[in-house]
Order: sequence, then structure tokens, then C-alpha cells
Amino acid sequence: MSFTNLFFIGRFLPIFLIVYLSVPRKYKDFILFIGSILFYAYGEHKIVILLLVLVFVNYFLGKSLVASRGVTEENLPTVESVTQSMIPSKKSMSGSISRKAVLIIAVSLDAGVLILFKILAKTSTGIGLPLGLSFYIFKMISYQADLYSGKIKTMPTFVRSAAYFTMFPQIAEGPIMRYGQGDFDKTHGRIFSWQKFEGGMARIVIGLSMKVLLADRIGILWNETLKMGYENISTPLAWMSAFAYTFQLYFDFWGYSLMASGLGMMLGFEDIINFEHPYAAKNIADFYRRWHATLGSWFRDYIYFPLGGSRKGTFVTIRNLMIVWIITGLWHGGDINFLIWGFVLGLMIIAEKFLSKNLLKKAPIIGRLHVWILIPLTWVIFAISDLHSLGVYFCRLFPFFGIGHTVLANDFINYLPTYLPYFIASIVLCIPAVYDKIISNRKHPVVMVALFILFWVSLYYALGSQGNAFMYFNF
Amino acid sequence: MDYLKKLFKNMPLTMMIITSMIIVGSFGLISQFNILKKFNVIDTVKQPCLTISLYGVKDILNKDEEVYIPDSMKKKSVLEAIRIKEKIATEKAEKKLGSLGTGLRIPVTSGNPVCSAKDYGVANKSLLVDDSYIFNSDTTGAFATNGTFKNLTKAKSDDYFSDALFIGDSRTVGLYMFSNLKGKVNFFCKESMNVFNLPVKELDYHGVNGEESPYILDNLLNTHQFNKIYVCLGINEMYRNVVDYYNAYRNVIHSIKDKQPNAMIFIEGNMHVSQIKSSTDATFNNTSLVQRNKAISELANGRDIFYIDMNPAVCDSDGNLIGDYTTDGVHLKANYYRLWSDFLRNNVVY
Repeated sequence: MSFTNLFFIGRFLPIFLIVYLSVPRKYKDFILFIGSILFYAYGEHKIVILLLVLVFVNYFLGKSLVASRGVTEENLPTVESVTQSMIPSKKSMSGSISRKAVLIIAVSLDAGVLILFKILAKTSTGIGLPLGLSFYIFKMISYQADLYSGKIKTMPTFVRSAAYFTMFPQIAEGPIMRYGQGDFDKTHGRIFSWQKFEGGMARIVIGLSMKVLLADRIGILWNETLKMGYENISTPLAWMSAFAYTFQLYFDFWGYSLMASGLGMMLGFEDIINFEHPYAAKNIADFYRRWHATLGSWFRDYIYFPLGGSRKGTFVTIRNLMIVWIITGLWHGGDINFLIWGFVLGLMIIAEKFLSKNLLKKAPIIGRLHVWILIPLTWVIFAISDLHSLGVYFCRLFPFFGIGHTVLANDFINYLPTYLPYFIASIVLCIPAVYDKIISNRKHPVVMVALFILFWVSLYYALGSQGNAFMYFNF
Repeated sequence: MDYLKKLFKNMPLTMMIITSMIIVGSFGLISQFNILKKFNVIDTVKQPCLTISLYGVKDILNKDEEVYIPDSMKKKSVLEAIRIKEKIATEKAEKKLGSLGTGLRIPVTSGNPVCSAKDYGVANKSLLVDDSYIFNSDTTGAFATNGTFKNLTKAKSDDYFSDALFIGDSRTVGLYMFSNLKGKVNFFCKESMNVFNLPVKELDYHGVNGEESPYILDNLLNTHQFNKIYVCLGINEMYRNVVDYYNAYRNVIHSIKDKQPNAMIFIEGNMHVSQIKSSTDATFNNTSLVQRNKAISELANGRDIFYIDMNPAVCDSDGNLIGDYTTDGVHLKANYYRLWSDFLRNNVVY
């Protein structure tokens, strides 16, 4: 069930909220778990069993991880001692070996399931990647690692763990919230307030309209280019389309993340910021601190730092960055283009870090140009999985190689009047102050009425895609 | 009351949205019984009442156009009633055909045969008809019994098309933009057109004389005279049942005939989709397309209505659109539209 589904907005969400908000605190996590399983089962009748099995297995592995830690509140390892315990000290050698074994089992099991399904989805027809698998597996891995390191102080109850793994606002497309961010541990549970609820509602409306009214619309241009055949498009159209795809991806994902965060806030969670104005970034490394931030920080904490981060000299840093970016690429998809995408980004970030650091400091404009020119180019790699077509597209972007031939000169002019408003809206929304001002002034009558209208217009447009997903790809 | 006031003060946007959702939802709940009679087909167990109201709004905003409600949202009883109605129509058609002059045949040279295609077994059965289904082809009566059928031949020059009108959807838009027929044919086309909304939507008219303006079909046919009218519609109707499509198609042909009785009509068979698409897509596949083409080809009479099928010009031996010719599996790449225009040049009627 997607958040833009009318069944979700008109039926599931209201009923769920009424139940969730009216039950006493101690039952809220249980309701969240049950509701999330229903939410998941709605679209994935069979895969929900896989999800439940993973939930049970991870809970029990986590439990044995903590049991061998012998945790009571007092003898908890502190965060500092844990970072050292990654390199086992002599004293706790025997205990930590068995704990480490459990951790390795848990992590490789989770990662194994993810890899298995990625391979299955690639090699056999009829088996798609289960909805949200990449996201909840990453939550499970972080859960195990945090239990091991002691970031999660006491063993959570089954219901809390299960609610954390499956919570419906995050199960399909993230954000990858950490257990510790979820306010599960506080004695009195998470803090609920009307203010937070209202903030959540505003984010849902903004997110919904970004997805339905902007991303879905501007994305049609990318589709048009695809239809024409890349070898036939003019260079201006190639660039225009690359930017259309760039914006489609951004507002689709940011919109979704805002809705997820908004839903979480309605349930009493804190605002999880997954996108922090990436296109206002100073350089590419900065861009990826702001873009899909929960994924980036996951890679930082669970892969980059354990590998030694940037503290072990230039060579190890470069190696670590490369490993992280290649895995990031593969996480997005099994095709070779994702590998290239990750590799290219890794190279760019390494280059920024070691080669052009001074240049970027002296002329900050260069870093910003990187963000606005190189990032859209990397999205083109991200979008086209067939290498030959990818090559053709780049030859149209940079027409010096003479491959391809524009069938219709000035083809981009045909599309300009239709898409110009979407481009303008996209650029305006890339200015951080715009979104921030909307959020901070959401009580202003004008903003409020505007949001109210946006909500209903978005629902109306969402109607077109109900019941039949093809209906909005009109030929 | 005080509590409500407090709620409105603390979260005005939320309360506005909740209140409006309750109002809109209850409007849907009530209207499913009386006001919006035609929406009582929606299954309110599967769909929130909100959906009915939104469809109501859509109905008001698209005045003349029939609002399509997907079968997945409809009540079971309604779906069954539709099926029974179809069955009766088929039986009637069978009887009627039996009484009409049997054995009448249009010569094969009077149109192209319907191009067949490999069935990959993925097609959604609810969109298809049984093989035994008989399409109620009321143009049958126009069959020439005296041998005055016309045959397809090659166009002497592109001047042939100067009094022709091409009606179509995005595929025809592509033909207009990328083939070398631009400026030689009158085009009347727009993305997402289908036989259901063709009578009410405005399409872009690109006249040979340089006229560029939007028209509704009726208005165009009232103010312009054409001797040949080509219709190429069908890809946006694929989420509808073959029978619905056929019936609406027939209505379109009728209304064109009414306005321009002297024009020859060319029913263009729908171009197939690529193998990847056809073997994986329950909606957009060649099994369904071939059924649709067979259905509309029934409307041809070999005298003033012809069926032409361009698929052999762009398909492989399995009837799949050749992979290199397309990226999305549905549309020709810009440089291949000339295959279609060449086909049209080679299949005209004088």
C-alpha cells in the first residue's frame, strides 16, 4: 500500500490513528506492530511471512547477543568501551568471541537474505524484490550492531523490536531510523503532542503534493525522451531530460520521506530528516550527507567506521570510501550501472577530499557546480541500466563523438512550454529557505489554506492512479 | 465543545483536513445510494467513501466524458451484471449474423490481414474475450454484393494524403513529429486519446494548409472536408475490456461516417508491443492487441471502410515489435517512424 493510495488515506490511516491514539501507552507499540503487519500484508500477501520470520529470528538472535553480554543496567558497556571492544581486549576475550559469533551470524543472515533476493529478482522472472526489503534488513542489521555495541542499552521487548522493524511509515522506502531514534527506550514511551501531530500533518501534505503534483509530472519528460530513443534526441533535450529525471527522483523521494516522517510524528516519533536540502550542498560529499541521510549515516556507522574510517592513513581511507560507495551502488540495484554509479561517486568524493580540497576552499562556486552538473550526470547513470544506451545518452549530452543523430531539430522547444512551470517549481523548492519558511509559518492563515488546497488537489490527482497503475502513464 | 475549540486552536490544519474528510466522506456515503447513481458501482467495502466523492468531482469537472472506474473497485454484483449483459449481446449477435447474407466475403486484397502474434500467457483474462465471441458488426450490411470492392495499392505520390486526416494518440503524435509526412497530411492527434474520450476532448489539428488549432472531433468534421480518414486508437484502452473497446470504436466510426459520408475510412490495426513487454505485462501484450485488432477489423467492408495492419513492417516472425525499434516497448523510436509512413504509402485505395 503506498501513501498516495486512497485506501491508505481514507481508510487505513484514520482507523489506525483512532485505535493507536486511544489505547494506553503500554499497548501502543503492540498496535503499531499489528497495524504495520496489516499494512504490509495488504500489498504483499506472501512476503509478509518472510517479514515475520525475519522479525522473530532477529529478535531471538538479538536476545542471545544481549544474554551473553549479561546485561543489567549497571554492567552495561559504555559507548567508548564498545568502540574499543570492536578490537577485542584480552580481558573479555572469551565472552566477546561468542558474542561476536552471534553478531556475525545475525548480520550475515540478514545480509544473506537481502543478497539472495537481489540475485533472485535479477535472475528469475516472476520474483520481484519484496517491498521494502532493503530498508528493513538495514534496520535489522543496525539493531544487532547496536545491541552488540551497547548503543541499545537494555534488551528491548519483543513487541518493541517488532514495532521498530515493521513500523508502516518506514517499511516501504525508509527512512532507516535507528532504534535509539525511535524513543522506544524511554520509560514513559515517546512523547505525543498536538503540536507534533500538526507538524506531521503539514509534512504529509507537502510530501504528498511534491510526489503527486511535481515528481510524477516532471518525470513524464524523461519518459518522452526514452520513447524517442536516446540516439535521436538533441543535446539540449538530453540535458533538459537529465534535469527532469534529477528533479523527479528528488521530489519523489523527498516527498515520500516527508510523508514517512510526518506519519511518524503523528504517532509521537521525532522528525526524521532524510533530506536536508541536498541541492544547496557545497560539494558532492556534502550532497550525500544531506541526500538520503539515514542511508548515508548507516553506511558511515556500520561499514565505514568499523573499517577504520579515515583515521588509518590515506590509502585505507580511499579503500574504505571505495568499499562504501560500491556497496551503496549495489544496494540500489544489481545492475552494472549501479556499480558504475557507486564507483563514479566514490571517485568524485575521493577526488574532492584529496585533490581539489584547496581549490574548493578558494572557489566554493566549483563545489556548487559539481552538485548541479555532476550530480545530474550521475543520475543518468543511475537511470539507464543498459550500458549501450547509457553510452548513447552520454554521447548526446556531449555531442563531440558524432554518435546518434537528432531526428527533429529543436525538439526541446516542443516540450518547453509544458514543463517550464515544473522546472521553475523544482528550482524554487531547492532553495532551503522556501521549505523552511513553509514549515515555520505553517500557522499563518495563507500558508494553511494553501496546504489545505494542495491536500485536496493532490488527492484528486492521486485518483487517476488508483486501481490501475498504468493509468497515469498515458500514451 | 471547549475541547474541540482547543483542538482547532492547537492544530488548525489537521482539524481542517479531518473535518473536510468527514464531510467529503459522508457525502460519498450518502451519494452512493441516491445522488450520484452511477457511482453506486463502487465497492465501498474495498474503497473508502472518499473515493466515491472524488469520482463525483471528476465527473463534474469532465462534463461530457465518461468517468472510468476500474473493475477492481467495482462491486461483485455489478461485475456479474455486466458479464450477463455481454453474454446476451453475443447471443443476439449470433442470431443476427445467422440471418444476414452468409458467405459474403471481402477480398483479401481489400485490406491487410490481422497480424498474429505469439501468446506468452501473461494476459489478464478479464480484459480479453472468449474466442467464440462474435462482434456485433453492423457494417456487415454494407458489403458489396456486386463486386465493387476496392483493393489496396501503392500511392502515386504524397499528394494522395493532402485530403486525408490522421486521427490518433501519442503514436500518431510521433508520426506527426518524426516521420516525413509532416505538412503532407492533416493530423488530428493528442497524447492519451482513446475511443472513449475522443468525442469530447480537444485534439490538436495540424492542417496541411498550416492551420494549427485545437478542435473537438465533431467541430472539425463540421468545418473541414476530408476524403480519407485514418483512425489509429487502441493503446490507451488496453486496461478496458475488448468488448468495451470495440463498441466505443464502432461508435466513433459511426459518428465519423455521419459527418463525412463520402470519406473513406482506414481503420489502422494497433501496432504490437515488444517481446519484453508482451511476455511480462498483463495489460500491454500482443495477445490482447491481436484480439482488439481482430475485433475492429470486423468493421471493415472493403468499399469505404478498410482495415490496414502495419505490424508486418515493424515486427519479427513472432509478431513482436522488434526490440531495436523501441525503448519503451510501446512506441517507435523517432528514427523508425518512417517504416510506418512508408507502409501507409504502400497501402492506399484509389
